[in-house]
Amino acid sequence: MKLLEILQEIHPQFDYETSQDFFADGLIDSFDLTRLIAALEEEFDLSIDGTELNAENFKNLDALQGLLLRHGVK
Amino acid sequence: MIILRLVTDYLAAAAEKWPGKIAVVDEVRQMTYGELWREAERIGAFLASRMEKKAPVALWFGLEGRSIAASQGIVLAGLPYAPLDISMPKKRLAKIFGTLEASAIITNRVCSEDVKKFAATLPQVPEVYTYEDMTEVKPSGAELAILDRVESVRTEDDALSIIFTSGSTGSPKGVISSHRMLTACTQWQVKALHMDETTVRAAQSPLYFAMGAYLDVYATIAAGGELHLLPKSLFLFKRKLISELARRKINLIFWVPSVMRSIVESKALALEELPPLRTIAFCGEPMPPQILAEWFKAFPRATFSNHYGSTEVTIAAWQELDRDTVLSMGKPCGEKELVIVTEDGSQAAPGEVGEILVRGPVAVGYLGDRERTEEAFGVEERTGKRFFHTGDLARIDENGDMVYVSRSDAQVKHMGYRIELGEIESAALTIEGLSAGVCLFDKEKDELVLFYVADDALRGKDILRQLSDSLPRYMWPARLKKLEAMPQTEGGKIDRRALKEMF
Repeated sequence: MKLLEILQEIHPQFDYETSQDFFADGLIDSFDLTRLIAALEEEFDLSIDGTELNAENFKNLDALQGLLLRHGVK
Repeated sequence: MIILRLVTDYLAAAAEKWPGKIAVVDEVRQMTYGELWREAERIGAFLASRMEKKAPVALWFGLEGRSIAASQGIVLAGLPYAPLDISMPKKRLAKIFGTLEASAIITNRVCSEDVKKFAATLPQVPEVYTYEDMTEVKPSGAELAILDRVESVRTEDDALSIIFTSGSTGSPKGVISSHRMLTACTQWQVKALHMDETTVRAAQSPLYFAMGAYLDVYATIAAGGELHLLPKSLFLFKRKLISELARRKINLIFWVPSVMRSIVESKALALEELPPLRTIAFCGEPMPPQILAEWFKAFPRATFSNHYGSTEVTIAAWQELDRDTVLSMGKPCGEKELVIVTEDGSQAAPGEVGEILVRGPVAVGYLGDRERTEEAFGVEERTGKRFFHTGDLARIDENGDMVYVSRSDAQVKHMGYRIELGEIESAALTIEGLSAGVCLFDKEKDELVLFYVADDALRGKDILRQLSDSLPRYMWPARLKKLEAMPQTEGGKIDRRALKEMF
Protein backbone atom coordinates (compact mmCIF):
# COMPACT_ATOMS: atom_id res chain seq x y z
CA MET A 1 0.00 0.00 0.00
CA LYS A 2 1.33 3.36 -1.08
CA LEU A 3 0.29 5.18 2.10
CA LEU A 4 2.24 2.83 4.33
CA GLU A 5 5.26 3.20 2.07
CA ILE A 6 5.12 6.96 2.47
CA LEU A 7 5.00 6.65 6.24
CA GLN A 8 7.84 4.16 6.29
CA GLU A 9 9.87 6.47 4.13
CA ILE A 10 9.74 8.97 7.00
CA HIS A 11 10.90 6.58 9.71
CA PRO A 12 11.55 3.04 8.40
CA GLN A 13 12.33 1.87 11.92
CA PHE A 14 8.80 2.50 13.19
CA ASP A 15 5.73 0.28 12.98
CA TYR A 16 2.92 2.39 11.55
CA GLU A 17 0.60 -0.56 10.99
CA THR A 18 -0.28 -1.39 14.57
CA SER A 19 -0.21 2.06 16.19
CA GLN A 20 -3.61 3.59 16.85
CA ASP A 21 -2.22 6.99 17.71
CA PHE A 22 0.93 8.11 15.88
CA PHE A 23 1.24 11.23 18.01
CA ALA A 24 0.84 9.59 21.39
CA ASP A 25 3.22 6.81 20.37
CA GLY A 26 5.79 9.29 19.13
CA LEU A 27 5.79 7.97 15.56
CA ILE A 28 5.11 11.40 14.08
CA ASP A 29 6.23 14.74 15.43
CA SER A 30 5.75 18.21 14.02
CA PHE A 31 8.76 17.94 11.65
CA ASP A 32 7.47 14.63 10.31
CA LEU A 33 3.97 15.97 9.85
CA THR A 34 5.19 18.64 7.43
CA ARG A 35 7.02 15.98 5.43
CA LEU A 36 4.03 13.65 5.47
CA ILE A 37 1.64 16.31 4.18
CA ALA A 38 4.07 17.31 1.42
CA ALA A 39 4.49 13.65 0.43
CA LEU A 40 0.73 12.98 0.37
CA GLU A 41 0.07 16.08 -1.71
CA GLU A 42 2.76 15.14 -4.19
CA GLU A 43 1.99 11.44 -4.44
CA PHE A 44 -1.78 11.72 -4.76
CA ASP A 45 -1.85 15.12 -6.44
CA LEU A 46 -4.16 16.72 -3.93
CA SER A 47 -4.17 19.74 -1.69
CA ILE A 48 -4.83 19.33 2.01
CA ASP A 49 -6.72 22.28 3.40
CA GLY A 50 -5.79 24.02 6.65
CA THR A 51 -9.11 23.00 8.19
CA GLU A 52 -8.20 19.35 7.70
CA LEU A 53 -5.05 19.72 9.75
CA ASN A 54 -6.08 18.14 13.01
CA ALA A 55 -5.08 15.08 14.98
CA GLU A 56 -8.26 13.20 14.03
CA ASN A 57 -7.26 13.08 10.35
CA PHE A 58 -3.68 12.00 10.91
CA LYS A 59 -3.55 9.87 14.01
CA ASN A 60 -3.45 6.41 12.42
CA LEU A 61 -3.63 4.50 9.13
CA ASP A 62 -7.44 4.34 9.12
CA ALA A 63 -7.72 8.07 9.74
CA LEU A 64 -5.29 8.82 6.92
CA GLN A 65 -7.12 6.49 4.56
CA GLY A 66 -10.35 8.27 5.41
CA LEU A 67 -8.73 11.60 4.64
CA LEU A 68 -7.45 10.33 1.29
CA LEU A 69 -10.86 8.87 0.47
CA ARG A 70 -12.47 12.27 0.98
CA HIS A 71 -10.00 13.58 -1.57
CA GLY A 72 -11.12 10.91 -4.03
CA VAL A 73 -8.11 8.64 -3.55
CA LYS A 74 -9.09 4.99 -3.27
CA MET B 1 11.76 47.61 35.66
CA ILE B 2 14.06 46.51 38.44
CA ILE B 3 17.79 46.53 37.77
CA LEU B 4 19.52 43.89 39.79
CA ARG B 5 22.64 41.81 39.97
CA LEU B 6 21.62 38.18 40.32
CA VAL B 7 18.86 36.49 38.34
CA THR B 8 17.04 35.43 41.51
CA ASP B 9 16.73 39.09 42.54
CA TYR B 10 14.13 39.46 39.78
CA LEU B 11 11.95 36.78 41.29
CA ALA B 12 12.39 38.12 44.82
CA ALA B 13 11.36 41.60 43.70
CA ALA B 14 8.41 40.38 41.63
CA ALA B 15 7.15 38.21 44.50
CA GLU B 16 7.23 41.20 46.80
CA LYS B 17 5.52 43.54 44.37
CA TRP B 18 2.96 41.16 42.83
CA PRO B 19 2.60 38.16 45.18
CA GLY B 20 -0.84 37.17 43.89
CA LYS B 21 -0.20 37.76 40.19
CA ILE B 22 0.03 34.76 37.84
CA ALA B 23 3.66 34.18 36.82
CA VAL B 24 3.74 30.84 34.98
CA VAL B 25 1.01 28.79 33.34
CA ASP B 26 1.56 25.20 32.22
CA GLU B 27 -0.76 22.35 31.32
CA VAL B 28 -1.74 21.40 34.84
CA ARG B 29 -1.05 24.33 37.05
CA GLN B 30 -0.62 28.05 37.25
CA MET B 31 1.76 29.55 39.76
CA THR B 32 1.70 33.04 41.20
CA TYR B 33 4.86 35.03 41.87
CA GLY B 34 4.34 34.40 45.57
CA GLU B 35 4.16 30.63 45.07
CA LEU B 36 7.09 30.60 42.69
CA TRP B 37 9.24 32.41 45.23
CA ARG B 38 8.09 30.37 48.20
CA GLU B 39 8.77 27.06 46.45
CA ALA B 40 12.12 28.27 45.10
CA GLU B 41 13.13 29.29 48.60
CA ARG B 42 12.15 25.91 50.04
CA ILE B 43 14.19 24.13 47.39
CA GLY B 44 17.08 26.50 48.04
CA ALA B 45 16.98 25.80 51.78
CA PHE B 46 16.72 22.05 51.20
CA LEU B 47 19.77 22.03 48.92
CA ALA B 48 21.91 24.53 50.82
CA SER B 49 21.91 22.36 53.92
CA ARG B 50 22.56 19.12 52.03
CA MET B 51 24.88 19.81 49.09
CA GLU B 52 28.48 20.05 50.15
CA LYS B 53 30.07 20.33 46.73
CA LYS B 54 29.54 23.21 44.32
CA ALA B 55 28.51 20.65 41.68
CA PRO B 56 25.61 21.26 39.28
CA VAL B 57 22.08 20.05 39.99
CA ALA B 58 20.14 18.60 37.06
CA LEU B 59 16.47 19.29 36.32
CA TRP B 60 14.46 16.33 35.06
CA PHE B 61 11.10 17.82 34.07
CA GLY B 62 8.80 18.11 31.12
CA LEU B 63 7.30 21.51 30.40
CA GLU B 64 6.38 22.47 33.93
CA GLY B 65 6.28 25.74 35.79
CA ARG B 66 7.73 23.84 38.72
CA SER B 67 10.98 23.40 36.81
CA ILE B 68 11.36 27.19 36.87
CA ALA B 69 10.81 27.33 40.63
CA ALA B 70 13.30 24.46 41.04
CA SER B 71 15.89 26.20 38.87
CA GLN B 72 15.64 29.36 40.98
CA GLY B 73 15.90 27.29 44.16
CA ILE B 74 19.13 25.75 42.91
CA VAL B 75 20.45 29.22 42.11
CA LEU B 76 19.52 30.49 45.59
CA ALA B 77 21.59 27.65 47.03
CA GLY B 78 24.55 28.98 45.06
CA LEU B 79 24.66 26.03 42.64
CA PRO B 80 24.43 25.89 38.83
CA TYR B 81 21.40 24.17 37.32
CA ALA B 82 21.31 22.00 34.22
CA PRO B 83 17.93 21.55 32.49
CA LEU B 84 17.69 18.24 30.65
CA ASP B 85 15.80 17.22 27.55
CA ILE B 86 14.24 14.11 29.03
CA SER B 87 12.88 12.95 25.67
CA MET B 88 16.40 12.36 24.41
CA PRO B 89 17.82 8.81 24.31
CA LYS B 90 19.21 7.56 27.63
CA LYS B 91 22.55 6.92 25.95
CA ARG B 92 23.00 10.59 25.18
CA LEU B 93 21.72 11.61 28.62
CA ALA B 94 24.37 9.34 30.14
CA LYS B 95 27.04 11.12 28.10
CA ILE B 96 25.75 14.44 29.41
CA PHE B 97 25.95 13.20 33.00
CA GLY B 98 29.51 12.07 32.30
CA THR B 99 30.43 15.70 31.66
CA LEU B 100 28.07 17.26 34.18
CA GLU B 101 29.09 15.23 37.27
CA ALA B 102 25.86 16.40 38.88
CA SER B 103 25.51 15.95 42.62
CA ALA B 104 21.73 15.70 42.45
CA ILE B 105 18.73 15.44 40.13
CA ILE B 106 15.45 17.16 40.92
CA THR B 107 12.37 15.61 39.35
CA ASN B 108 8.68 15.17 40.14
CA ARG B 109 7.06 12.26 41.94
CA VAL B 110 5.69 10.74 38.75
CA CYS B 111 9.13 10.42 37.14
CA SER B 112 11.14 9.68 40.26
CA GLU B 113 11.25 5.86 39.96
CA ASP B 114 12.50 6.06 36.36
CA VAL B 115 15.02 8.70 37.27
CA LYS B 116 16.34 6.64 40.18
CA LYS B 117 16.77 3.65 37.87
CA PHE B 118 18.64 5.80 35.36
CA ALA B 119 20.77 7.46 38.05
CA ALA B 120 21.84 4.06 39.37
CA THR B 121 23.41 3.24 35.99
CA LEU B 122 25.73 6.25 36.14
CA PRO B 123 29.34 5.86 37.26
CA GLN B 124 28.84 8.69 39.76
CA VAL B 125 25.36 8.19 41.18
CA PRO B 126 23.65 11.54 41.92
CA GLU B 127 21.03 11.99 44.65
CA VAL B 128 17.46 12.00 43.33
CA TYR B 129 15.05 14.41 45.03
CA THR B 130 11.42 15.03 44.17
CA TYR B 131 9.97 18.49 43.92
CA GLU B 132 7.09 17.47 46.14
CA ASP B 133 9.36 16.24 48.93
CA MET B 134 11.38 19.42 48.76
CA THR B 135 8.47 21.85 48.82
CA GLU B 136 5.75 20.26 50.94
CA VAL B 137 7.54 20.84 54.21
CA LYS B 138 8.48 24.24 55.56
CA PRO B 139 12.23 24.61 55.97
CA SER B 140 13.53 24.72 59.55
CA GLY B 141 15.12 27.83 61.03
CA ALA B 142 18.52 26.15 60.82
CA GLU B 143 18.02 25.35 57.14
CA LEU B 144 16.99 28.92 56.40
CA ALA B 145 20.03 30.22 58.22
CA ILE B 146 22.31 28.09 56.06
CA LEU B 147 20.51 29.31 52.94
CA ASP B 148 21.00 32.89 54.09
CA ARG B 149 24.71 32.35 54.53
CA VAL B 150 25.10 30.61 51.17
CA GLU B 151 23.04 33.27 49.41
CA SER B 152 25.03 36.15 50.78
CA VAL B 153 28.32 35.03 49.23
CA ARG B 154 26.97 34.62 45.71
CA THR B 155 28.40 36.90 43.02
CA GLU B 156 27.36 37.88 39.52
CA ASP B 157 30.29 35.95 38.07
CA ASP B 158 29.04 32.68 39.56
CA ALA B 159 28.11 29.91 37.13
CA LEU B 160 24.36 30.18 36.68
CA SER B 161 23.56 27.17 34.57
CA ILE B 162 24.74 24.63 32.06
CA ILE B 163 22.98 24.04 28.77
CA PHE B 164 24.02 21.20 26.51
CA THR B 165 24.26 21.65 22.77
CA SER B 166 25.43 19.34 20.03
CA GLY B 167 29.20 18.69 19.99
CA SER B 168 31.26 17.92 16.90
CA THR B 169 33.23 15.06 18.45
CA GLY B 170 30.15 13.07 19.42
CA SER B 171 29.65 14.29 23.00
CA PRO B 172 27.30 17.18 23.74
CA LYS B 173 29.00 20.40 24.87
CA GLY B 174 27.90 22.05 28.13
CA VAL B 175 27.81 25.84 27.90
CA ILE B 176 28.29 27.48 31.31
CA SER B 177 26.49 30.80 31.67
CA SER B 178 26.93 33.38 34.41
CA HIS B 179 24.49 35.69 36.19
CA ARG B 180 26.21 38.63 34.55
CA MET B 181 25.50 37.37 31.03
CA LEU B 182 21.81 36.72 31.73
CA THR B 183 21.06 39.86 33.74
CA ALA B 184 22.70 42.07 31.10
CA CYS B 185 20.60 40.49 28.38
CA THR B 186 17.42 40.41 30.45
CA GLN B 187 17.67 44.09 31.28
CA TRP B 188 18.20 44.91 27.65
CA GLN B 189 15.35 42.74 26.40
CA VAL B 190 12.71 44.00 28.84
CA LYS B 191 13.36 47.50 27.55
CA ALA B 192 13.80 46.66 23.87
CA LEU B 193 10.61 44.59 23.68
CA HIS B 194 8.66 47.09 25.86
CA MET B 195 7.79 44.42 28.40
CA ASP B 196 5.85 45.20 31.56
CA GLU B 197 3.36 43.56 33.92
CA THR B 198 0.76 43.42 31.13
CA THR B 199 3.04 41.20 29.03
CA VAL B 200 1.67 37.72 28.32
CA ARG B 201 4.45 35.74 26.70
CA ALA B 202 4.25 32.24 25.19
CA ALA B 203 7.38 30.11 25.35
CA GLN B 204 7.85 27.92 22.32
CA SER B 205 10.78 26.00 23.68
CA PRO B 206 11.67 24.37 26.98
CA LEU B 207 14.54 25.55 29.18
CA TYR B 208 17.13 23.16 27.75
CA PHE B 209 16.57 24.34 24.18
CA ALA B 210 18.99 27.26 24.11
CA MET B 211 19.77 30.37 26.07
CA GLY B 212 16.93 32.15 24.26
CA ALA B 213 14.49 30.07 26.30
CA TYR B 214 16.03 31.56 29.44
CA LEU B 215 14.94 34.98 28.30
CA ASP B 216 11.36 33.76 28.14
CA VAL B 217 11.70 33.11 31.85
CA TYR B 218 13.94 35.90 33.11
CA ALA B 219 12.60 38.75 31.01
CA THR B 220 9.02 37.80 31.90
CA ILE B 221 9.84 37.68 35.61
CA ALA B 222 11.83 40.93 35.48
CA ALA B 223 8.85 42.62 33.83
CA GLY B 224 6.29 41.02 36.14
CA GLY B 225 4.51 39.46 33.18
CA GLU B 226 2.84 36.10 32.65
CA LEU B 227 4.66 33.20 30.97
CA HIS B 228 2.79 30.40 29.22
CA LEU B 229 4.62 27.11 28.69
CA LEU B 230 2.91 25.63 25.64
CA PRO B 231 2.80 21.84 25.36
CA LYS B 232 4.74 20.39 22.44
CA SER B 233 1.63 18.72 21.02
CA LEU B 234 0.14 22.15 20.40
CA PHE B 235 2.82 22.74 17.77
CA LEU B 236 1.65 19.80 15.64
CA PHE B 237 -1.38 21.59 14.27
CA LYS B 238 -0.78 25.24 13.75
CA ARG B 239 -4.36 26.43 13.48
CA LYS B 240 -5.05 24.97 16.88
CA LEU B 241 -1.89 26.65 18.09
CA ILE B 242 -3.01 30.08 16.87
CA SER B 243 -6.49 29.65 18.36
CA GLU B 244 -4.89 28.66 21.63
CA LEU B 245 -2.68 31.77 21.60
CA ALA B 246 -5.82 33.83 21.05
CA ARG B 247 -7.65 32.09 23.87
CA ARG B 248 -4.74 32.72 26.24
CA LYS B 249 -4.46 36.37 25.07
CA ILE B 250 -0.76 36.02 24.28
CA ASN B 251 0.74 39.39 23.33
CA LEU B 252 4.44 38.56 22.96
CA ILE B 253 6.29 35.76 21.19
CA PHE B 254 10.01 35.24 20.75
CA TRP B 255 10.17 32.20 18.51
CA VAL B 256 12.27 30.53 15.81
CA PRO B 257 11.50 31.29 12.15
CA SER B 258 10.90 27.57 11.37
CA VAL B 259 7.80 27.59 13.56
CA MET B 260 6.63 30.92 12.17
CA ARG B 261 7.07 29.53 8.67
CA SER B 262 5.01 26.43 9.34
CA ILE B 263 2.26 28.61 10.79
CA VAL B 264 2.11 30.55 7.52
CA GLU B 265 2.24 27.36 5.46
CA SER B 266 -0.72 25.87 7.30
CA LYS B 267 -2.67 29.09 6.62
CA ALA B 268 -3.26 29.55 10.33
CA LEU B 269 -2.82 33.33 10.01
CA ALA B 270 -6.01 33.44 7.92
CA LEU B 271 -8.06 32.44 10.96
CA GLU B 272 -10.70 34.92 12.01
CA GLU B 273 -9.62 35.16 15.59
CA LEU B 274 -5.94 35.97 15.96
CA PRO B 275 -4.06 36.47 19.23
CA PRO B 276 -3.57 40.08 20.45
CA LEU B 277 0.14 40.06 19.59
CA ARG B 278 1.91 43.35 20.24
CA THR B 279 5.48 42.11 19.97
CA ILE B 280 6.71 39.51 17.50
CA ALA B 281 10.38 38.65 17.82
CA PHE B 282 12.41 35.85 16.34
CA CYS B 283 15.87 34.39 16.66
CA GLY B 284 17.98 31.36 15.85
CA GLU B 285 18.03 31.20 12.07
CA PRO B 286 17.45 33.41 9.01
CA MET B 287 13.82 34.51 8.46
CA PRO B 288 12.52 34.07 4.90
CA PRO B 289 11.27 37.55 3.81
CA GLN B 290 8.07 36.22 2.20
CA ILE B 291 7.12 34.52 5.49
CA LEU B 292 7.75 37.70 7.43
CA ALA B 293 5.56 39.60 4.95
CA GLU B 294 2.62 37.32 5.83
CA TRP B 295 3.09 38.03 9.53
CA PHE B 296 3.18 41.76 8.86
CA LYS B 297 -0.08 41.43 6.98
CA ALA B 298 -1.76 39.50 9.79
CA PHE B 299 -0.46 41.77 12.58
CA PRO B 300 -0.16 45.27 11.10
CA ARG B 301 0.06 46.98 14.48
CA ALA B 302 2.63 44.71 16.14
CA THR B 303 6.31 45.56 16.59
CA PHE B 304 8.63 43.14 14.83
CA SER B 305 12.27 42.42 15.55
CA ASN B 306 14.96 40.03 14.38
CA HIS B 307 17.61 38.80 16.82
CA TYR B 308 21.00 37.18 16.47
CA GLY B 309 22.61 35.16 19.22
CA SER B 310 23.67 31.78 20.50
CA THR B 311 23.76 29.86 23.75
CA GLU B 312 27.30 31.18 24.36
CA VAL B 313 26.32 34.85 24.13
CA THR B 314 22.50 34.96 24.52
CA ILE B 315 21.37 37.81 22.27
CA ALA B 316 24.18 39.71 20.60
CA ALA B 317 22.48 41.81 17.93
CA TRP B 318 19.03 42.82 16.82
CA GLN B 319 17.10 44.71 14.23
CA GLU B 320 13.78 46.48 14.64
CA LEU B 321 11.75 45.87 11.53
CA ASP B 322 9.14 47.57 9.47
CA ARG B 323 7.67 46.28 6.26
CA ASP B 324 10.46 47.67 4.08
CA THR B 325 13.44 46.73 6.21
CA VAL B 326 15.91 44.44 4.48
CA LEU B 327 16.78 41.66 6.92
CA SER B 328 20.35 41.80 8.16
CA MET B 329 22.05 41.01 11.44
CA GLY B 330 21.25 44.46 12.78
CA LYS B 331 23.12 46.29 15.49
CA PRO B 332 24.71 45.07 18.73
CA CYS B 333 22.44 45.08 21.75
CA GLY B 334 22.98 46.03 25.36
CA GLU B 335 26.59 45.76 26.43
CA LYS B 336 27.54 43.60 23.45
CA GLU B 337 29.93 44.58 20.65
CA LEU B 338 30.33 42.75 17.37
CA VAL B 339 33.46 42.76 15.24
CA ILE B 340 34.31 40.86 12.10
CA VAL B 341 37.83 39.50 12.18
CA THR B 342 39.85 37.79 9.47
CA GLU B 343 41.98 34.69 10.03
CA ASP B 344 45.00 36.65 11.32
CA GLY B 345 42.82 38.30 13.97
CA SER B 346 42.70 41.75 12.40
CA GLN B 347 39.46 43.60 11.74
CA ALA B 348 37.96 42.80 8.32
CA ALA B 349 37.78 45.58 5.71
CA PRO B 350 34.29 46.65 4.52
CA GLY B 351 32.93 43.90 2.27
CA GLU B 352 35.52 41.38 3.42
CA VAL B 353 34.22 38.12 4.88
CA GLY B 354 35.40 37.19 8.37
CA GLU B 355 34.30 35.56 11.60
CA ILE B 356 31.99 37.37 14.00
CA LEU B 357 33.54 38.01 17.39
CA VAL B 358 31.15 38.96 20.19
CA ARG B 359 32.61 41.06 23.02
CA GLY B 360 30.99 41.77 26.36
CA PRO B 361 29.17 39.58 28.88
CA VAL B 362 29.47 36.16 27.20
CA ALA B 363 29.42 32.64 28.68
CA VAL B 364 32.09 31.32 31.03
CA GLY B 365 33.10 28.43 28.74
CA TYR B 366 32.44 24.75 28.05
CA LEU B 367 32.16 22.48 31.08
CA GLY B 368 35.16 20.21 31.55
CA ASP B 369 36.64 21.15 28.20
CA ARG B 370 39.48 23.57 28.62
CA GLU B 371 40.77 23.09 25.09
CA ARG B 372 37.57 24.10 23.35
CA THR B 373 36.96 26.86 25.87
CA GLU B 374 40.37 28.39 25.11
CA GLU B 375 39.78 28.03 21.40
CA ALA B 376 36.48 29.85 21.46
CA PHE B 377 36.64 32.27 24.41
CA GLY B 378 39.16 34.84 25.54
CA VAL B 379 39.74 38.14 27.30
CA GLU B 380 40.81 41.22 25.40
CA GLU B 381 43.98 42.52 27.01
CA ARG B 382 43.44 46.20 26.40
CA THR B 383 39.89 46.42 27.76
CA GLY B 384 39.59 43.32 29.94
CA LYS B 385 36.39 42.44 28.05
CA ARG B 386 35.51 38.82 27.41
CA PHE B 387 34.91 37.68 23.85
CA PHE B 388 33.57 34.66 21.98
CA HIS B 389 34.44 33.35 18.50
CA THR B 390 31.00 32.57 17.07
CA GLY B 391 32.07 30.49 14.08
CA ASP B 392 29.60 32.55 12.04
CA LEU B 393 30.99 34.23 8.95
CA ALA B 394 29.72 37.67 7.95
CA ARG B 395 30.64 40.86 6.11
CA ILE B 396 29.72 44.52 6.22
CA ASP B 397 27.67 45.52 3.17
CA GLU B 398 27.62 48.85 1.32
CA ASN B 399 25.04 50.29 3.77
CA GLY B 400 27.23 49.48 6.72
CA ASP B 401 25.00 46.59 7.86
CA MET B 402 26.38 43.28 9.00
CA VAL B 403 25.25 40.46 6.71
CA TYR B 404 25.44 36.78 7.61
CA VAL B 405 27.37 34.62 5.11
CA SER B 406 27.65 31.07 6.48
CA ARG B 407 29.15 28.89 9.19
CA SER B 408 32.90 28.35 9.24
CA ASP B 409 32.42 24.76 10.43
CA ALA B 410 30.01 21.83 10.14
CA GLN B 411 27.34 23.26 12.44
CA VAL B 412 23.86 23.55 10.94
CA LYS B 413 20.49 24.86 12.06
CA HIS B 414 17.58 22.50 11.50
CA MET B 415 14.10 23.48 12.69
CA GLY B 416 15.73 25.93 15.08
CA TYR B 417 17.98 23.31 16.64
CA ARG B 418 21.72 23.67 16.50
CA ILE B 419 23.36 20.51 15.23
CA GLU B 420 26.99 19.50 14.77
CA LEU B 421 27.11 17.13 11.80
CA GLY B 422 30.15 15.53 13.45
CA GLU B 423 27.95 14.27 16.30
CA ILE B 424 25.70 12.43 13.84
CA GLU B 425 28.73 11.01 12.03
CA SER B 426 30.34 9.72 15.21
CA ALA B 427 27.07 8.08 16.22
CA ALA B 428 26.84 6.45 12.76
CA LEU B 429 30.40 5.17 12.97
CA THR B 430 29.64 3.20 16.12
CA ILE B 431 27.21 1.03 14.12
CA GLU B 432 28.61 -2.40 13.34
CA GLY B 433 29.04 -3.06 9.64
CA LEU B 434 29.14 0.63 8.73
CA SER B 435 32.61 1.59 7.56
CA ALA B 436 32.18 5.21 6.49
CA GLY B 437 29.54 7.82 7.21
CA VAL B 438 29.23 11.47 6.29
CA CYS B 439 26.26 13.59 7.24
CA LEU B 440 25.36 16.67 5.23
CA PHE B 441 22.53 19.15 5.41
CA ASP B 442 20.35 19.65 2.34
CA LYS B 443 19.43 23.29 2.85
CA GLU B 444 16.88 23.37 0.07
CA LYS B 445 14.81 20.54 1.54
CA ASP B 446 15.79 21.33 5.14
CA GLU B 447 16.82 17.69 5.64
CA LEU B 448 19.77 15.83 7.08
CA VAL B 449 21.25 13.27 4.68
CA LEU B 450 23.57 10.48 5.76
CA PHE B 451 25.90 9.04 3.11
CA TYR B 452 27.40 5.73 4.15
CA VAL B 453 29.39 2.71 3.09
CA ALA B 454 28.39 -0.57 4.73
CA ASP B 455 28.17 -4.35 4.50
CA ASP B 456 25.25 -5.67 2.47
CA ALA B 457 23.76 -7.21 5.60
CA LEU B 458 23.23 -3.82 7.23
CA ARG B 459 19.84 -2.44 6.28
CA GLY B 460 18.92 1.23 6.27
CA LYS B 461 16.21 0.48 8.81
CA ASP B 462 18.78 -0.91 11.24
CA ILE B 463 20.97 2.14 10.85
CA LEU B 464 18.07 4.42 11.69
CA ARG B 465 17.02 2.27 14.61
CA GLN B 466 20.49 2.45 16.09
CA LEU B 467 20.80 6.17 15.47
CA SER B 468 17.50 6.75 17.22
CA ASP B 469 18.97 5.02 20.28
CA SER B 470 21.79 7.52 20.55
CA LEU B 471 20.60 10.78 18.98
CA PRO B 472 17.72 13.11 19.78
CA ARG B 473 14.96 13.13 17.22
CA TYR B 474 15.91 16.38 15.52
CA MET B 475 19.28 14.83 14.66
CA TRP B 476 17.90 11.78 12.85
CA PRO B 477 18.75 11.80 9.14
CA ALA B 478 15.72 12.20 6.89
CA ARG B 479 17.43 10.32 4.06
CA LEU B 480 20.11 7.64 3.80
CA LYS B 481 22.28 7.17 0.72
CA LYS B 482 24.33 4.02 0.42
CA LEU B 483 27.54 4.31 -1.59
CA GLU B 484 30.08 1.78 -2.82
CA ALA B 485 32.84 4.10 -1.66
CA MET B 486 33.18 7.67 -0.44
CA PRO B 487 34.23 10.09 -3.19
CA GLN B 488 37.65 11.55 -2.44
CA THR B 489 39.40 14.78 -3.27
CA GLU B 490 42.84 14.79 -4.83
CA GLY B 491 44.27 15.25 -1.37
CA GLY B 492 42.63 12.01 -0.25
CA LYS B 493 39.95 13.64 1.94
CA ILE B 494 36.26 12.86 1.67
CA ASP B 495 34.87 15.04 -1.09
CA ARG B 496 31.90 16.71 0.61
CA ARG B 497 31.24 18.86 -2.40
CA ALA B 498 30.81 15.79 -4.61
CA LEU B 499 28.43 14.33 -2.03
CA LYS B 500 26.34 17.50 -2.09
CA GLU B 501 25.90 16.99 -5.83
CA MET B 502 24.17 13.70 -4.99
CA PHE B 503 21.38 15.19 -2.80
